[in-house]
Order: sequence, then C-alpha cells, then structure tokens
Amino acid sequence: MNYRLIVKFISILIIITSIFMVSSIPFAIYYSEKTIPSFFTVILLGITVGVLGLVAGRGAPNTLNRKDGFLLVSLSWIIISAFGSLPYILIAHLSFTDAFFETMSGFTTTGASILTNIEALPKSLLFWRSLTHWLGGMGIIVLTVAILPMLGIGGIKLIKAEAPGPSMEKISPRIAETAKYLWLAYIILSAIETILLLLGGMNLFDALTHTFGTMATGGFSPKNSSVAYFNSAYIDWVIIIFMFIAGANFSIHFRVLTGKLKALKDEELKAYAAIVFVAILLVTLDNLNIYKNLLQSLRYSAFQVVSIMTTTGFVTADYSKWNGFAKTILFILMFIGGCAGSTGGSIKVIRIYTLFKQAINELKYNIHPKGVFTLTINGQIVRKNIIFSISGFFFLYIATFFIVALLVSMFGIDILTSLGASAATLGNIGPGFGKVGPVNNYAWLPSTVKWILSTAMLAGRLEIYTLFVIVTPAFFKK
Amino acid sequence: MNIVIAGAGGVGYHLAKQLSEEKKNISIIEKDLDKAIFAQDSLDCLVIQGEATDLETLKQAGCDKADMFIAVTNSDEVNMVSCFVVAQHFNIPKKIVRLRNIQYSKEDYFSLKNIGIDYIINPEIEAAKSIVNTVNFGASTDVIIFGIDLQMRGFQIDDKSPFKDKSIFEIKKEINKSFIISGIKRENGDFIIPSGFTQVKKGDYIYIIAKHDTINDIVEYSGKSSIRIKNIAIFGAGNIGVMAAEGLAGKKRNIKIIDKDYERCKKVSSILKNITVIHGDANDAELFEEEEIANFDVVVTATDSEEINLLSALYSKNIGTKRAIAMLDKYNYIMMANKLDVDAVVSPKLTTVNSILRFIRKGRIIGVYSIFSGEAEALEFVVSESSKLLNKAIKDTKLPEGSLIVAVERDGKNIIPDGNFVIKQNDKMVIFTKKENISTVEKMI
Repeated sequence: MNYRLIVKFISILIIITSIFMVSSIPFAIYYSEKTIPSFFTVILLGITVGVLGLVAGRGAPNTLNRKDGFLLVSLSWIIISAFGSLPYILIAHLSFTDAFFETMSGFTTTGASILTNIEALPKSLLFWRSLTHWLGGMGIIVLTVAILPMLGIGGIKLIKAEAPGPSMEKISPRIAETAKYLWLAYIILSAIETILLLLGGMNLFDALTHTFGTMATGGFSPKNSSVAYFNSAYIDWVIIIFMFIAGANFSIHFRVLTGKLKALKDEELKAYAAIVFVAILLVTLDNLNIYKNLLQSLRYSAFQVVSIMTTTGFVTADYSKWNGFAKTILFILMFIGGCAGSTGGSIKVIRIYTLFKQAINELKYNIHPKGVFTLTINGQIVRKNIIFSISGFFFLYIATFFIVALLVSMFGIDILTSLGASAATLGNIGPGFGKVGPVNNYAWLPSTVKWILSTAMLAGRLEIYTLFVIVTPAFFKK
Repeated sequence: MNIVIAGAGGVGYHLAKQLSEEKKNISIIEKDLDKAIFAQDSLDCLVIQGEATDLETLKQAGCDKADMFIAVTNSDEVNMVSCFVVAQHFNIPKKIVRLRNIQYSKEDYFSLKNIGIDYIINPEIEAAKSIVNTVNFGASTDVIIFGIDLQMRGFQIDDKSPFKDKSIFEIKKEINKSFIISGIKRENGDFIIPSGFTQVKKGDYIYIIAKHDTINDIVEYSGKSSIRIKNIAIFGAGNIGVMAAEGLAGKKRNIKIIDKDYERCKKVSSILKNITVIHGDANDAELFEEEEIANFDVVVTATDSEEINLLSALYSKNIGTKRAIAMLDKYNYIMMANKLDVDAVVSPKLTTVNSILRFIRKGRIIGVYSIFSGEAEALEFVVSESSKLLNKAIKDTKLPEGSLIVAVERDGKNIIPDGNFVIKQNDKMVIFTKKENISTVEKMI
C-alpha cells in the first residue's frame, strides 16, 4: 500500500479545501460578522497540516494500485469532512458529532441538517455550509485530478472510485482534461443559474448558496423554510430546471455547451426525462384537491418531484401532508436518483434502466428458452459482467438501506422515520419522512444514530462499493 | 499532439503508454472488447472499441484532428486498409504502418506510398538487425549504437563485478578511459541517472556509454572477456531467425539453425545454402549434446515461445555455451533474463516501439533509444540556432533533474563532455533522460 502518496494527496486536498474556505471571508466582512478570526485559524491550520503532510509524503512513488485508490478516496472524504467541520465547532459551538454530520451532509450533497434555527447563524458560516455542497457535487477528487495532473493514470482509478455511475465516460483522451471539462461545464451552469436567481430578486448571498445547493443536488438552504421562503414562482421554476439539469450527465452538458446537440440523443437521458415527466403528471393530478388550481399544483408538485428524484432535497411544500399516493411516488423516486455522471445520488437511472431491460429479456427467455436477446444501450451491447455488477450494486444498496433503517429503529425511532432517514441519507437526498420530514430536521436524533447516518451518506456518495471494499477482510490480505 | 493508434496489442499498448505519459493526446482503436477494456482501465487514453477500417470508428477516435496515425494491429491487411481509409478521408500528416509478413522491395515501397503510408515498420527486420549487431559486438551485453561514433552497453552488476560498491568517481579513476555511466536500474525497480557520488550496488543494471574502441576494454574490465565469435546456433527458423542467420553469415562463421517444424526446415535449407539446418526441438536435451551446443560461442533463441527462449538460453549457458542472446518481449522476462545468466536480450516489441518513436520525434531529433521498457530515453539531436542550450556551459543549461548530456560530436570528433563544456550550434549530442522529462527536454533542444 502506497501510504506516502495517500498522505501527500490528502494534504493537497486539505490545502485546496482551505483555499476555498477563504471565499467565506468577504461575506464575513460584508455582513460585519465576528467570524474572521475563526476562519483564519482553520485556514492556517489546514495549510500548516497540508504542508507538513506534503513534506512527509515527499518523493512518494507516483503509482497507485486499485486498493490504494479505494482507500485514498474513502479516507479523503472522511478527513475532509472532519476538517470542514471545524468552522461549525469554532463559530456555532456545535458538538463534533453534529458538526461532522453537517459537513458530511454538505460534501456528500445530502442536505440533511441538524441546525434548528439556520437564519440565526452567521452568513459566512452558511456560505461555507453551501460551498461544501458545491465542492462535493462534482467531486473534490475530480477537482484535484483536474488541477494537478500529477497522478496520470492513477487519476482514472480515483475518479472511478468517486464518480457517480457505473462507468466513467471520457470526453477527452486525457483524464485530467476530462476532469477539467466536467468542472468547466459545472462552473458555467452554476454561473447561469446564479445570474437567473439574481434576476429573480435574490441577493448575491442567497443566489450563490441556492445555486450551490441546486447544481450539486445538495439541498442546504440558508433559510429556515428552504426555498419556500422566497414564495416566487419564477425562483421555483428556475430551481426546478437547474435541479433537472444537475441530475443529468455532465458529459452530455459539456457536449451540448460545445454545440454537439446530438449528445441529447441518450437513452438514459430519455428514460430520466420520462420518469420525471410521468411522476410530475401523477403527483400534480393527485394534489389537485390540495392546491385547487392546476398551475399551483404543477408548481409545487414539479418542484418536489424533481427535488427528490435528483436527490436535491429543497422544499417548497410540506409533502408530509400530501395524499398517500403522492407520498409513495416520492418514496419510490428516492431510490432512482439522477443519471450517471451527474451530481445526483441514489441508485441512478442507468442502473434501473439496465436492470429493467434485463428483466424484460429474462421474461423473453422464459418464453423462448433458446432465443438470443442482447441488451443494448445507445446501440452498444452491455456486457454480462456489467449487468452482474449492477445487480450486485442494486442488492447491496437495498440491503444497506434496510440495515441502516434497522439500526436507526433500534434507538426507539418509529418505522416511517427510520425508513425515511435511511433512504434520505443513503440516497444523499436530505429530507425524509416522518420525524425527519420536510419541515423537521435531524437535530433530535441520538448521536450514535447521527454517526450511522453520516456513514450511510458517505456509502451512498461513494456508490456503496468504494466504501464497502475497504471493510472487507480480503482488502487487507496481500 | 493528437495521435490515433489502431491496435492495443503489445506494441500499440506500449506506444500509447509511453506517449500518454509524455502528455500527448492518444486515442486507441481496438477490436477486441477485453483488450479495449484493459487499455481503458490502465492507460490515460481514449479507447474506442471497433474496427480500425471503419470510417465512423476512425472519426470517433478523432482522426479529423489527429497529427499522426499509427496502425499496429496484428493484421497487416487491416493496417494497410485502415491507413488507406485514413488517407482518403482525413488530412493526417504522418501515417505509420506496421507490416510483419510482407517482404517488400523498393518498388513495393512506392506503391505503399500511394495508398498513403508514410513510414513502414517491420518488427522482424528490426529484431533481426538488433541480433546481428549484438553478436557483432561480442554478444556480451545489450548494445545500443548511436548515429555518432559511440555505443551504449547495459550489464548487470553481480557479486564478482569490480564495480560493486564503488562510486562513479572511483570507477572512473580506476579505469582511466573516457566513458560515462548514463543510467542505473536498482534492484527495487528505481531508475536513476547517476551523479559522480552515486554508488553502484550489487543487483544494479547499469548502462555505459563509450567510443567503439574503448567500450570493449570497459566491458572486459567489468569481468566479461571479449571472445572471437565463430560458432553460432540459432533456435527458431522463423523470419527473425532466418534474417539474423543471413545477416551473420560470412566471416568464416559456422552457423546452425534449429527448428522443430520439418517443412519449415526444408524450406529454410533451400534458401540458406551455407548454413546447417537442423530439425529438432529446443526442449530436447539430447539435441544439445548431439549438436555440441556446449562448445558454441553464441546461442540465439528466437522461437515463438518466450518461455522456451528464456529457458533454453539459460540451459545453454549452463552447459557451457559462452554467450546467450534471448528474444523476449514480456517485461518481467526481460528483467529476469538480465538478472540471470543471459548476456543480451532482443525484444521485437521494444525495437518496434523504438523505431516508431524515432519516426515520431524526427526533426531536430535524429535518434531515439528507449531503455528499460521506456523508463528512460537517449535522444540524439543536432543543436539548432533556436536551441535553448546554445552557447551555454552544460552546468548552466537548466536541464531538468534526471537528464544528462552524455556525448557530443563536434567537427567529426567525439567528446564525452563535463560540466564546463560549452554547447555550440551544429553539435550533435546524445542526451539521456527519464521518461517524465522527455517533453521538457524536447522543448529545450
């Protein structure tokens, strides 16, 4: 195991994170907050630790094997979350458990919060809270590979261990370039959304924090009542559209931004759009008796459907008061999530779509035992071992969901809340059902449960396999 | 630079690996799904799974923006046709094709030019040439011959070596001849370009550069006496074996070529009149006795099987053959052969990669010699007007760490330079550099 390179890489990651933390300081100055010394302390600490780590890892061989990659990515996320929780501890005087939960929730773009009165906190801290979303959305490791191509081939292994979806599509021959282009598309789309939100009457702070929450499919809002605070149809629709975009594959966005509209002819994208469309239609009709007029019903239903499906978790309506049918649809959507290569979490459309097609083929095999049916996606034959890997993933995901729910319920928590909290953290969604529903939060949970749910968030963000392989005994055998 | 490579076999994979590490944009087209996935997982390249002759696939691989097309699939026909398709539809300035089986004459070469091929590479001819060179230089070490009157030899430091546990300064003092130790591969796999204080240790594989007339003295000093080569046995009468035999024939040499395929033996014996052709198996110990291989000066093992090549080279050395040259492609086998008793290794794959690299770097650079599977390269070039090295003393050149100017030819004279040597225009130089510095060095020279 190449521990020195792991130390070196994580040190670089801490330095990059510290540098990003600097962007909270202008807000502290603008809103005359007393948070500057705390931020300075954390940033200086980060850079010192980072430099010391760089010295310790100096001259490490630049080769990473598969195991190193898994360990490096998992450790990076844990250490960066611990580091990112320092401002909460210093400024808001949160316990380490709460601060870690909040930061992990930020980096994994979950958006589950333990804060009860968000608006009472300094704006600069809330900006950092939303920034963790934005950094985690496209992936801090992808960012590092983009900035520092030092890893070369090793970078592929890391990005694969971090990137959402079963396969990583290259839009350029070089991995570092690919990572750069993905971040470029991410930055451009974020800029567009910020401008549109500014036009809707938000101030720069609100526009940026909500953009971070949207583009990363995160869900942290600096307002107690989330996006409902603004009560503006324009803002709702802008956020709906950008949540939808963030839940689609960013390599498609990059192609479209460079004028290759053909990229839109993607089977996963079509399936994603179809699911979203049908869900909106059904929920809108079901909600007609609550919202009276069709347009109102469409606005609130579409927002919640897209927010849950893309695993964002913004809220404009208390869906816990909706009818059983609409709630069940939302619960099912929690297990679908965004597309591969998006910032969304959960199982991902491509996996559901592949399994669905395979199930159809199995039905056909039952009728024609000697028939030959191939599974193709975008005209490409999908290999058996990919289908096996997806089936394995599906099983592990559902199993993890039940185990987490079971563990949570051991602490005297009711079944709806347990299931909701498990689905919402594992899928990186945020608000769940029951006592962790859209108008509640996670503050009241016992600390052990918070640690269990933090782990579930990380497992979900790293697509189950990456985190699970490092706890298998086989991983540490030679 | 954008390069499209057709075929991710031994040569294609290796080329892609080396070029992508030099920060060039590489796309590979590979038909076989498993090979494509393997390349995708282990190389920093774009891998397209498909036929190299298919226009759509070529487009996907980015042929419309490519500066170079290299066809190295395992089929000569596919290589030629894909190059033809590329020439018809895209405007790629350099197109390289590997042709293995077709023996072409000068006229053929022109007709190949007509279908758009700019450079043909035949790995078997390259390998055979390399065998002939190695034997002609005494078959005692791996040999790399530069364009200028210098050569580089590589050998293993074992327990008995007088170089063991000495610094480069001490070795230089002892030998008192003009030479340079240009690279050391340590037992743990590290590759270093040494300074004067570097210690040579047991288990190192070192490269020495010197003039043709002094290098043999150094090799001799290192513990390998030079021998007169008269009796040569070649195992394997494939194209490489036969071409090597042809190249080595004459000079009153006694050459035997041994192959297990009777029909092939008959055919070869009809072509090679002065050479004894033996029908037999390299696995067969009795054959070695019958043909008195123990008393031969050199054994060359060039059969299709790398395992047999390695083992029978070792076996020959063990029973008393003075020198053994093995044809090997697998990196781990080459490393093993260097450590064990095999005197020199010829690798068709690496010689092919080298000659393609030489063509790619053409321009100011006139020669490229890649060693240790591409971990380092020796670049031979002429100092031009625009060179950043011009009129500077070597110690002031700011060459990246791990690069070393090992030899200079000026006005027909060979110089092994020291730090105070001032570089002039039109000097021909050899620079030795680690792979990560190749692109930096390329920009400076």
